[in-house]
Amino acid sequence: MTSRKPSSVSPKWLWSIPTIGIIAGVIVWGVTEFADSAGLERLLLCLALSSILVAVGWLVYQAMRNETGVSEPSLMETPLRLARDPEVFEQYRELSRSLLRISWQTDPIYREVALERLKALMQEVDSVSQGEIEFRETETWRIVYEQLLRSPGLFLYRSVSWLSTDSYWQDEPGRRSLALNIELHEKEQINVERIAIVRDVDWPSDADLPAPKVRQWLHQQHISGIWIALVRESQLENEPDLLADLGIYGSRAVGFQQVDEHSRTKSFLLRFGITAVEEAEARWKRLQVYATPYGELLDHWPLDE
Amino acid sequence: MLYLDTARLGQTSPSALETQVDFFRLTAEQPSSLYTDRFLAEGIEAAPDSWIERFPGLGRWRGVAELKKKVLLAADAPSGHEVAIASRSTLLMRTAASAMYRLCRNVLVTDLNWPAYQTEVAHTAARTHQRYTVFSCRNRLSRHQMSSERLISEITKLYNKQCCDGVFLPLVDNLGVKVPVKQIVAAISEKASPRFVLIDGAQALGHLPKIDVHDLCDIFIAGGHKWLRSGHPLGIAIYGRARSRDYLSRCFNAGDRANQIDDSLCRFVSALSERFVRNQYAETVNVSPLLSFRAALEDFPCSSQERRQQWQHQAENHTHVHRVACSCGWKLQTVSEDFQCGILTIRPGKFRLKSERGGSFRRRLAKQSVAASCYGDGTIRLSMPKRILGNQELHAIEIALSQCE
Repeated sequence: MTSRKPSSVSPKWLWSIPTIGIIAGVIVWGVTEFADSAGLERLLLCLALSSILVAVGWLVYQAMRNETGVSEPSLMETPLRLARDPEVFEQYRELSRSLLRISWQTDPIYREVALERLKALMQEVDSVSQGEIEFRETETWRIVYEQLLRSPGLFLYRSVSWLSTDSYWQDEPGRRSLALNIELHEKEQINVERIAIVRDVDWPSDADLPAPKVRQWLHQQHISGIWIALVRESQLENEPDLLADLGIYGSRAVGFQQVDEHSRTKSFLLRFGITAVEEAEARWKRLQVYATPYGELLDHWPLDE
Repeated sequence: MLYLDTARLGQTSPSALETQVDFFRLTAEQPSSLYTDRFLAEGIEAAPDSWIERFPGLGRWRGVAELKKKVLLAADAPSGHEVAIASRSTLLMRTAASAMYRLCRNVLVTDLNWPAYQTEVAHTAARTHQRYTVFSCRNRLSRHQMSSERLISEITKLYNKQCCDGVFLPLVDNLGVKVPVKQIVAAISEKASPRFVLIDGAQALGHLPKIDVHDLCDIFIAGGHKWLRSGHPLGIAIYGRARSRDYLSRCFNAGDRANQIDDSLCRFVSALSERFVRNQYAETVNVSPLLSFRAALEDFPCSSQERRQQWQHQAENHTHVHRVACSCGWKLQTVSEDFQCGILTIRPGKFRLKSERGGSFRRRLAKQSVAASCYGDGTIRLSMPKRILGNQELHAIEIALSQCE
């Protein structure tokens, strides 16, 4: 497990630049004041200037090294680095205390089980450290989902909804999330765009529009001004990686949802970071090639209702 | 007075004038009549028989539903389309821009758009953190450097290059450039249909013989006070394309609470249309613009043949006035034939100081009983009447322009 969080450039390095400048200035002044020959004067002047350049170059190198944060801290350095972040440092201390308590136990069976548990825990912590947070068999991910959608600076939410059942997002938690989408979109806080992947059973190739239950779910969003496009599941036969249920939260994070046959969440994986967003945006673009805007379908086959 | 100025408020039509006068007489002679509400909702048939004799101008009012039908007819829109009415077209434009930016991320506009509307779009884009892309063509059009084919191809190129997904175009700009909107939208749609098409028809409604953009645009915004000559400022928005009809109905009829139009007339018309129980404590509304607008529509020809004839008269006037202006040393400001309409824009042949222009031109034209729009840069906009100008009138224009030069 490695720390990838870049450390900030220490301000003390920045203060050293004027300090070196003052020292170099004093040297140059001393040389010009006291040197006897012009040749010696020039030599010392060149030495002073080159030493300034070397010092500044070294400082820049150090600053860049710190910025990229590629160096892995030593065992002793780790707590010092973590101490910069009090919240994480507190967790580090708690974890250390727990690990110490485990190591004090001597029962071999207990140790075996504890180490197995620790291994599993470490795997989870490792994925969290890489910006991934997973929720399993729970709808509590919707709390984080709402936090993300309401967060300042988020203006665009793109969602791919894989309607793998006809009751997709039609239970109470799903309805609430949809109401949140509509509320924020109507208030112009965010712009919501959605591509719906519809099963062929709900939208046969010879049907103009999807089945009523699915269509009503789509139409409710459409009349709220959410841009919606549709893809039949069978259209993605040759691109199975596009069959996914995901949400792109601006340039902040991506969420992947898996649901069971009753549309309850099996897992929801949140990936933070621009790399995850870029990958998801690429998928969105590929999916758009197959998608037909719902509005265009209505232009061809207006609803009678 | 030879009226050639429809830039802001057109000359009030005779029927609109009569209705306005009679409505004011009603409010003076029979204020707060028990029948006024019914009259406004259902028209003259719901009023006492004596009204039609005492206030004949009110006979043209047959309720909001009939007014909307008449508007659709005048705008060549399908009968199933919807009409939203507000006392200011800017409020409708604000709602339209807001509706557009819920769907679009980058809207293509041109420098031919009316600046106030352009500002609304720019503000909405900023508020919703979206973009707009400006296609500049006015200078090249005025230098006759652009054909309609080139305009269409360049707009399409920019639209695709900037990944635009919506368009906002005027059908006729305020200086008389007729934009080939239908062809532009068709060219753009070859790759992907725009998510939203917003058309400014303020200078087109009542001016062009036929408006044929309703099947491709989501909202068409215009007013009754320019070429339709209703006398009172009044904005209308026509929508009804299947893809956006339900959505826009929410936007314009207060179903969308977050973006209700702040206009008492709009709310009043919505309530009458939906036959809501009216709140007696609601804001007092000036209904006079509605009545005079309906009356003005009476003076606007319904038959396409008559409209084409008027268009031909305008084209003929255009040719004559152009010749007269050139003989006085004026230059044609507007563009090649592809873009011409019933508006002629000219500028002085010689350089003049700015202080001498605008207001001074307007005064000199008025001395010869000619009313026209005069701008600060010396440009004069002449709206061609729909009847053939006589020799005397052309002579008056010639003298007026000579005195400005």
